[in-house]
Amino acid sequence: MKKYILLFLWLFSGTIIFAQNKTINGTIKSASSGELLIGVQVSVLEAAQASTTTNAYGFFSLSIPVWKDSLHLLVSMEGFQNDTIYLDKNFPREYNIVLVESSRELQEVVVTAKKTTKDIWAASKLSTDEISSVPVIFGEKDILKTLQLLPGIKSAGDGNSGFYVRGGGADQNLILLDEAPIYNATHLLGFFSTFNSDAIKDVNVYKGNMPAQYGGRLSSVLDLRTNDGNATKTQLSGGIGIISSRLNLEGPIVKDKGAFSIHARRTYADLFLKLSKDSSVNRNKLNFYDLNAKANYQLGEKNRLYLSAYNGRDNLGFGDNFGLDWGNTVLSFRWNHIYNSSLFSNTSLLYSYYDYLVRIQSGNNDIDVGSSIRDFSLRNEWQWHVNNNNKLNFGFSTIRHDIAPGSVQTNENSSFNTQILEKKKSLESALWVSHDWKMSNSWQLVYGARLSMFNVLGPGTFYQYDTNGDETDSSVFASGKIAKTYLNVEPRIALSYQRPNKDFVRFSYSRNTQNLHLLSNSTAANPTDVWVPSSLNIKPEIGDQLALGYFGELSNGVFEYSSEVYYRWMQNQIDYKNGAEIIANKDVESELLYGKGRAYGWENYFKKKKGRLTGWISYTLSRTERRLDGVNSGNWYPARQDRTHEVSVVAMYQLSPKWMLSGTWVYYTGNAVTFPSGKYVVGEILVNYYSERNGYRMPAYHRLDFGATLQGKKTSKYESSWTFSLFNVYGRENATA
Amino acid sequence: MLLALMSCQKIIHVDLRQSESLLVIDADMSDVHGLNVQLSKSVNFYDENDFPPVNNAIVVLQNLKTNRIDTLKFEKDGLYYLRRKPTVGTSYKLFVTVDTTTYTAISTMPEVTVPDSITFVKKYSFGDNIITTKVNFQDKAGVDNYYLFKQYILKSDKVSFYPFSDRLSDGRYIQYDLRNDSAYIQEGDSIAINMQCIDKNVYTYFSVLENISADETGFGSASPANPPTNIVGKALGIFNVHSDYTKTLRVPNKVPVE
Repeated sequence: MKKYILLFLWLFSGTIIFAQNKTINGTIKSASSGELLIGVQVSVLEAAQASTTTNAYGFFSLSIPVWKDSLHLLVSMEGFQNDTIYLDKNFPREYNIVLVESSRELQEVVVTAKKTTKDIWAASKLSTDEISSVPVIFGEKDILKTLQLLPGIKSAGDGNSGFYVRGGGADQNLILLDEAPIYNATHLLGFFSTFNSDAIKDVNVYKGNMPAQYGGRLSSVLDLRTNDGNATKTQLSGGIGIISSRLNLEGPIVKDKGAFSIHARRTYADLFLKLSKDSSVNRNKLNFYDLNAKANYQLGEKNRLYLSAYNGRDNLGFGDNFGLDWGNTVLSFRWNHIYNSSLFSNTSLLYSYYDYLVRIQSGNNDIDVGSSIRDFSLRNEWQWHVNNNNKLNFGFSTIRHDIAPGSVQTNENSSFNTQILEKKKSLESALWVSHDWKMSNSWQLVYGARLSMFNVLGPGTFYQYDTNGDETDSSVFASGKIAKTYLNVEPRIALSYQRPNKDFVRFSYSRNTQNLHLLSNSTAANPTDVWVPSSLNIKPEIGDQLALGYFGELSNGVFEYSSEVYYRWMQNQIDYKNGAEIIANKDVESELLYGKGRAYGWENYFKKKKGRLTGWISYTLSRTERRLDGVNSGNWYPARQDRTHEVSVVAMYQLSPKWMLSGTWVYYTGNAVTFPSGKYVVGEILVNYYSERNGYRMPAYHRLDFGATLQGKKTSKYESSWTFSLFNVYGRENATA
Repeated sequence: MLLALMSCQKIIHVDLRQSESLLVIDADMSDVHGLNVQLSKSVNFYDENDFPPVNNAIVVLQNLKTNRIDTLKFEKDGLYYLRRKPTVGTSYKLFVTVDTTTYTAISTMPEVTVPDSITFVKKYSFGDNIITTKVNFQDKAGVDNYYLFKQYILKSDKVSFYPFSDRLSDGRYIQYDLRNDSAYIQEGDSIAINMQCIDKNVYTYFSVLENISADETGFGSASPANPPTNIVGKALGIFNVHSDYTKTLRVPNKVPVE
């Protein structure tokens, strides 16, 4: 191993001084809950360049230059009191550090150590505290809704958890829950997201420029990690609301060795409907539930196992005539292994399933229409701390996708035939390597590449179509045979220059590819949208993004600001022809159109992080366009989600130790829409005539929300809070189309 | 947690751009009426529904099987006609020449299917019992069939249209619901039902039209576009060669609940 380290040192940096270094490693936990902490900074007080942060599993490696007999390790994270650990001459290699949470009042006084390292890729980060303070509809705090208040992340509209990042589509966001993909992150047709805030420990967002270990979607990565559970004591907590209730149970499996957590949430809006005497109301169904469960266990000093599960389902029904239910199930099993103080690995086995079922009962017709997607995957990631200036991340992943694109089940008297489309099978694999190189005190370069491979697998009949959508060829492939392989190299580069005042400038370039595509009858994500894999006709979507940004802090960390410009271009974007039949159509690929997209913008963010008043202002100026053959005479046109100006203002004010007030104001240019410019008559029908695609604008959207939280009496056993929220305070009648 | 939700519908006025006035060819050939071609011009969206007729055209029909050519007679107000009925399986080509420009379109007469019966049921939908007309017929197996239904409510002059394809119903006995989104039909009303067998291109045209069809606000679908027509040349409209079955009925006084 030593030989290789030397080789890398020689390869990556000619200027490293071969001082005597000793590499230490360890984990950092919260004192109150025993949760492993992500993103904690660990540095050597006497040597500023020796600094690192804990990874997604609370693990860190740090090389300590041994040039003095006594050194100090400084451990700091916002929301926690700093810890200083004295290192004597023969300091050990392994550390299990516990950080004590600072109370809210204390937080204002404590001056946290200035950050010296920052995730070079990540966009602005929100703490779970901030998420719980932002007012949202029905008082149900929601991570996805709150993220949409950040620059570059656009909401798909009222009551819709779908979102667009930097001009990408709603299907171009990779949403990971403990590493497993979530295919539909919405509940109740978009009023809620599938993420129970109580269960979420950490959220990371990457807006197009992402590290090499992520891939598969063009626009963004939303990486959510759930709570491990309290490893020190068992506790039960919950919340009761008008719309939903939550119950959480967590505790140690073996004290300080392992813990479990269970988070359950159930809405019951329809229980009130049942109270109605009107049979047209009380027969309706409108509910969902979420269940998150997780367990972890430490096996010796070197191994830790995690098992997490999520299951959520929506149930919608109008009388006996119509029912729609959909849901996700994900499972992830992960194994952390520490090979030595500088080499960490994680191996994951993941399962993800999404399906929907529409039931229509109408006279002679009992029809069930459904579709599903199922993934099995294996992922292996290595983090090698070569030294404080050189870190390597490499690994591979492989996902087996099984898509049931559509089925129609009917009874024998039905007007419809039972029809089950062939399953579509594919294998999506990737190899990646990334080198994080601190070139000097000011320059940091992270570069790497991801080799992605997509195999379209048999069994199945594969059709090819010409541009008119007429079948030109068909071929049959047996089970396990490869019908088509797509290979792509995705370079990922981020270069940052840190100024003496710790502000920094960042340049980044990323290429991403996407092999699963959502065919949607509307522009926002719907439960009944159909996922299709790349095929003989559908090529992988490719996105390239360049970004340049300036990130800084003011007044010793009270304020934080950033300003970033980006340009993105996208190839093989998919739309469909007029009159396309999406549901249960074996020839759906003959109904597609392919084109290009481009998006550019300027994102600004100013945040006050400390004091009684906290919050942020974000402003984005942007443009998003598409070009498709046969649409708008082949000219560029604004995409529906093109919004020239977008502003959000979020303010939270701690009125008293008991009362917390909050307010949110959003404003954005109306969506681009197509309106008719003429009309005519055909066969007694009045027909609109459209002259250009998305040539008009909806009126601007703006809305003010208020929220207030009252903290009840706190005893050692019992704690309560009341959340009041007022949505659309001045009653703006926002138009939707 | 407190909540108060309100929603409302308000019609907004958008300033629309002027559009080019285009030729509209509404060509309809059936086994009942022969060929009627109505020529007019499109108007701006906010104009009155007053469509200027085009009276200076030469309209010609070619039978693509026999190559027989007929010139249509001009009646009045942009209407041209030919008392010739289509033959099943035959394609027809229409030529419309206005000034020096010629527009063409091809449509094929499909096999004929007529309904066995037309019945009525009350359907429960969002708290309302809505009277729905059912057209009952046997779909021919092994071929792609396309249908267009029209429902006329005689007292209110309301016309609804329903394109239907047997893509998911090949060979089935079909009980097709002519759905209404509101209680337009009352017991005792007189209605007329029209059933047409149409070709694929005509079906696609009406199917897109159904998605974008003008409601009171004029804005039906999220991303509307002009329906793909079988007319070659910069003109609007469709050439539809079809079978024609029409029946006038009175809705009975006791419609069963489904």
